[in-house]
Amino acid sequence: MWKKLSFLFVTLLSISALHGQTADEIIKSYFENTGGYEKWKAMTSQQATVTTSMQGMEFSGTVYSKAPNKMKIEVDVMGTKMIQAYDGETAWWLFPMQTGPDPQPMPAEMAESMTEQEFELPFVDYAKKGNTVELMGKEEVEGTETFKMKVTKKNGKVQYYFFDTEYFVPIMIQAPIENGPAKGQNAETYLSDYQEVDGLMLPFFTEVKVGGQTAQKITMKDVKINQELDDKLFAMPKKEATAPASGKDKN
Amino acid sequence: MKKIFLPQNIVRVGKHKPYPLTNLLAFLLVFLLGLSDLQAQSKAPSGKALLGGLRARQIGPAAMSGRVSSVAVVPGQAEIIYVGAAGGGVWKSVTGGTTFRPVFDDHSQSIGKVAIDPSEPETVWVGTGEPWVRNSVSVGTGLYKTTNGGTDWQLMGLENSERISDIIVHPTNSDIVYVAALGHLWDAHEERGVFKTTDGGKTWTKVLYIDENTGCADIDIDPENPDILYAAMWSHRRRPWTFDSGFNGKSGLYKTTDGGSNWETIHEGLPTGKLGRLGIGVAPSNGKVIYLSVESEKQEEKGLYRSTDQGANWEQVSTDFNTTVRPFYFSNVVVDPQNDSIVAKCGLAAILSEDQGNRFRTMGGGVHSDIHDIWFDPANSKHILLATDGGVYESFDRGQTFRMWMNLPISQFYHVSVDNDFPYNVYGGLQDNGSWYAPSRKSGGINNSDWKSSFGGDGFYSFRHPTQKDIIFSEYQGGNLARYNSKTGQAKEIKPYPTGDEEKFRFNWNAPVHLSPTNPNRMYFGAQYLFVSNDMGDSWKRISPDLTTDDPEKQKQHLSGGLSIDNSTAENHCTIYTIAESPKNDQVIWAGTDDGLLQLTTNAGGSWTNVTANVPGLPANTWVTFIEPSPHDANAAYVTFDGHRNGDGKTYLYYTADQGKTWKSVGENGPEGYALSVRQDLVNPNLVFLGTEFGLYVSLDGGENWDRFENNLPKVGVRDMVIHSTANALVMGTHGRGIIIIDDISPLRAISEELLQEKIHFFASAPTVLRDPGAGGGWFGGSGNFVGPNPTTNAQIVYYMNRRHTFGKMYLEVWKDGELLRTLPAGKSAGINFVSMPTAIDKPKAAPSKNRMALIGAISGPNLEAGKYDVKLIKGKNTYETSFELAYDEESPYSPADRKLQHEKTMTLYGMVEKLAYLYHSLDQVQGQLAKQEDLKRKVQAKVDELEEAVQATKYKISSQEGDYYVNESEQLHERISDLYRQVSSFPGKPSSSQLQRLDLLQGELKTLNAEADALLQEQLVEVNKWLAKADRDAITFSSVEEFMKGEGGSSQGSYQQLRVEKKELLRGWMHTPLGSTYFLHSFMK
Repeated sequence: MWKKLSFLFVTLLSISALHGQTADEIIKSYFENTGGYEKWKAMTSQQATVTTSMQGMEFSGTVYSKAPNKMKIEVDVMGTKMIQAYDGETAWWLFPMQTGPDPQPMPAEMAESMTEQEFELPFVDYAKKGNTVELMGKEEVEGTETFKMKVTKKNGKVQYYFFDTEYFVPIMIQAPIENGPAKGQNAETYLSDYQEVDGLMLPFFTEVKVGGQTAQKITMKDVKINQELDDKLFAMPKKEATAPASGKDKN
Repeated sequence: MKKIFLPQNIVRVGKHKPYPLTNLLAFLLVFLLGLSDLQAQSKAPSGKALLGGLRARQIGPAAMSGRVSSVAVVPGQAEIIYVGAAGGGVWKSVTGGTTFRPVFDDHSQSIGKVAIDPSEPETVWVGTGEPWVRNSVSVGTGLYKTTNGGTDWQLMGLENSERISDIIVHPTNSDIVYVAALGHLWDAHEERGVFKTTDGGKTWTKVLYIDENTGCADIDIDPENPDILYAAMWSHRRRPWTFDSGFNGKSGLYKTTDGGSNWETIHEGLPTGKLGRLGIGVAPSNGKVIYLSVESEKQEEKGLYRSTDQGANWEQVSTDFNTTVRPFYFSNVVVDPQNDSIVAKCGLAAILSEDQGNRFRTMGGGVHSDIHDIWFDPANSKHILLATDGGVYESFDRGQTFRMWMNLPISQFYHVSVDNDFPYNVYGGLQDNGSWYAPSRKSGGINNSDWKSSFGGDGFYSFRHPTQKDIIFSEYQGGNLARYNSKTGQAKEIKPYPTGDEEKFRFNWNAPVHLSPTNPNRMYFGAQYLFVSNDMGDSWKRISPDLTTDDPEKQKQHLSGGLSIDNSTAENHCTIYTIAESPKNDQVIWAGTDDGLLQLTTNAGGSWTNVTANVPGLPANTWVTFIEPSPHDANAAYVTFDGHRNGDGKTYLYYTADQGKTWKSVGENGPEGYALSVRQDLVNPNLVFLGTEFGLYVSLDGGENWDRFENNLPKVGVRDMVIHSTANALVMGTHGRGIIIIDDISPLRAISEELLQEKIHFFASAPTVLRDPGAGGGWFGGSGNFVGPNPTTNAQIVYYMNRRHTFGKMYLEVWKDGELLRTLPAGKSAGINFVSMPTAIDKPKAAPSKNRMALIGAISGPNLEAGKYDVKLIKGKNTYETSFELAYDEESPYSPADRKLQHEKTMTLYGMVEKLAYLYHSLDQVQGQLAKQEDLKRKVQAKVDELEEAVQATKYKISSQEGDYYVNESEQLHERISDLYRQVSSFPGKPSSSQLQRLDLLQGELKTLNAEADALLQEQLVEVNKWLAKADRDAITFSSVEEFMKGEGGSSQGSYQQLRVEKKELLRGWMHTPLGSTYFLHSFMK
């Protein structure tokens, strides 16, 4: 009898939370609904083929990332590779029109935002990391009711996550642009096409809007997690010796 | 096949419960507690979601910019600038003015003061409600604060102050702030005076208050002792027909020495008698020296005063015209931060004295008149900014010369119109900035230089004659109408004059001109009488008696102004303000007056009926702002009324279906702000647009319910709007943010209750006219010029979804004649989604190259042909189908035969680029495998090495693998073909004979190279493979054409072929975007 009653009590408690969600409950539900905290915690790497479109132009590429903060984006334009990468120490890029044929260290402002990335979700062990979360209330996003959650990173930077109030997955992330003439303007990243990869639900489609206008759309394919990714993959290659161009007649 | 979670795998338990359902009891409880929420889920998307899919387009202009009331710059960081516009919100630059972006779109756009916290520059205070109180001034909604440089704003109170003239933040304590509330302009109200907070704005104390008619026009602080402040209290009142500066005589200059607890007047040496508006300038470098602009009873006592003892005594130092002119507009005085002898004063022109105010010179030449704010750079006071009626100007030589900032699209339109050109042009008149027109679309965007002036003065109504293409009607204030010929550049003034026995004509400041919707040669013009002209204004016929109240007490413009007569026609009253002929019956004409009468004739002016008394709940003398006779029914009309000039800010919108006999109030459910304009849709009578002081509202049910249109449409006064009948665009004239266009309102027309219940609904759309690529357009202008965006050239696939798509795949496929052309990301929002379909196919797969032009050359795919295209929308397991059509521009000079040839040759070259890409790929694969073959028998190894060398040699003939992508690079066949592809594909007409000849030659070269590669891959490789087989090694293989084409190698692109330079810049911009931070990881890692 006592057992039954206590179960009822617990149920009632959880229901009383119905109308007073806390940030922790939302995060807990999010983890539960997308594969479980343990799985998120255990993730070590991701890899995916992506198609990104900007103002109607599309580029394909591959993105690799590895805990705690390594990442690499390779884009293929007409068979020519362009790269942005960070190996945990050096942010570098290859963009022939700018860098020439050899990879170069990234300009400081670009590098800063690359190096600040963390592989792990800000919600995983957030308190231990020095992040704080705060539920700001409800807001409508794309016609869907959401919980607006403020995430303040240890470094003071603020992002807002908007969790669908039915499914408890984020459908939008808002954060200010950090550099350039639009510094301080909010960019909204909309998440959808959640699909399962080895037991984790991940958003396969993101659309970035700035001031309500689409800046970029990214579609992911062939997502793999927890692959062995060699650290060398992320490191800036040593300069290759290149032969001088032959300066042939151009007509 | 992996199992994919479908939505039902996700725990979904009502709106609030995070935990899985574990038993029946829990279920029942959830059901009982959450019933209303469960029901709510079947609801259609909110109006906000429905409208959210449409995006407004702000085309400026910034050519003449608009009135700026306040400028603030971060001390020591002159590149961080905030501009507070009179009606266009707050704009921020972090680049010294080369670029600006609006940071205050969610709030009232009328700005009184922007103040930066001196000890915490990311904290900025904005007081809304312009304090330069001209007749057309907008209203504010209180005090706002940001602590992160404008990203987020919080309302900090004083919501009912209407206007905030000044804000002083304590120099070292961010929690202490003084706010000067000028208060209500049009009525008595107690929320005015000086307010102080000591807790960062949480609570406020009114520390200086005179009475409900006297507000604080200016405050200033002593630079050495922050407990010493000065406040200019101003008693004033505007009425619709008059202005009174000085009003009840309570104006005065006050001083506190204890942080606002006690105040005393400091008038020693100031004029006795009634005072008007005063402006205070304490020298930042020496608190003893204060300058004061004074409005008083006697003309000779007006002017600039100076104190050298902290305000204890005053001495008049100047009566210069600009020290006395229009104090309500120009009272601002600013002292050089480095030198207390240098003082500047706002005026019709800005003036500057370098000798303590004794002698003044005018600052600048070519600077717009009417100066409201002046900023001196504290680090270099020769660096000066001026805020004017025409934007912001910057000087580096202490005001000798100025450069205008051409990137602030804060223009204040009174009215807007469109013509029937393709693309259509937009016309309108602006506050103090004349009349202008520009195309709604232009190759490279709508530049400042695309705006043409069609008359001067303050501009109001401006129209192109519907059939006489060179004629534009424009006007300036007080009923001065002109007929401008855009071909000759000459203007003829055409206003009517009274005959001998007629009373003087009274024209409103903003006198109505109306073009008949039924007869292109008929136009109306309103004074107190209504006039009609059938000869383009050369002669006028009066078709009404005096339609106003003709109240003599309200016809004293010449006496208006209070202490300073201000006879500018701005207070002309008892005039007709709006005119509208029914598009369904030219006998039905409506006229509304500024003194609140709504008049109707049903016999083209033969007789008139005053229907005002039939309008229920409308206070007397409420200004009639807009009449929209229904485009569907001659008996019906929507009318807006505006009472804000009587202190009544309610939204008044009424509808009649019986020629004004009965009226229904329809603006109650949703809209905020006094009503300025209304349009009923031309197709769907239930679709109604309402412009108020706080933005655009849309109703889908004839006015019962409204939602604000928020996507790129700030809370700006929408003074006028027009629906373009063929472009299906809503074009708005806003008083502070220029022209704003919603390019395609057709989806809104189709919305119905039934449609809202559908899961997916595709909206029909007109064929998309293919835009031929434009050469020319932008050049290297650097930053600093505003360019209005164009509407999209892409085909639009538009659909409604009743719920947002969050789980599982959703995308679109575009098919042509059974062939899949491309896939597109889908819009996922509940409500209306627009998916842009580029009207070009994927760019060709190409061999790698280190040649810049080759890289740029093949970056675009060829244009699609005109015709019908099928669309499949794949959402989870379901597929929904629709189609769209592309059409050639009938006005274009290219014949179908030329287009056909161009397309054919483009596709030939496209195929050649891909053929080479395949050859390169195959050779590269083979070479790679050959290179790995080691330690074979010497003879076999020799054959392998020989083939590898041959393969490499052929590969290098395909494309350039050397160079720096610029001046040290080579070219091979791929580069030559790519370049020709670029040339031929980017011109929509017939390729040149030289190009065709070149194509033949390159085809020959390709054939030769192909044969060479075939020999290697088909013959010699087969031979080598035999040897390898004998050595027990795997055969060397390469992909089939099919495998290669399926691969990701070439990637894809979209968009119409614009200038390749733009593509390059886009690519560059994209690569410069640290994808990792801003965008990419959101998707990839989270």
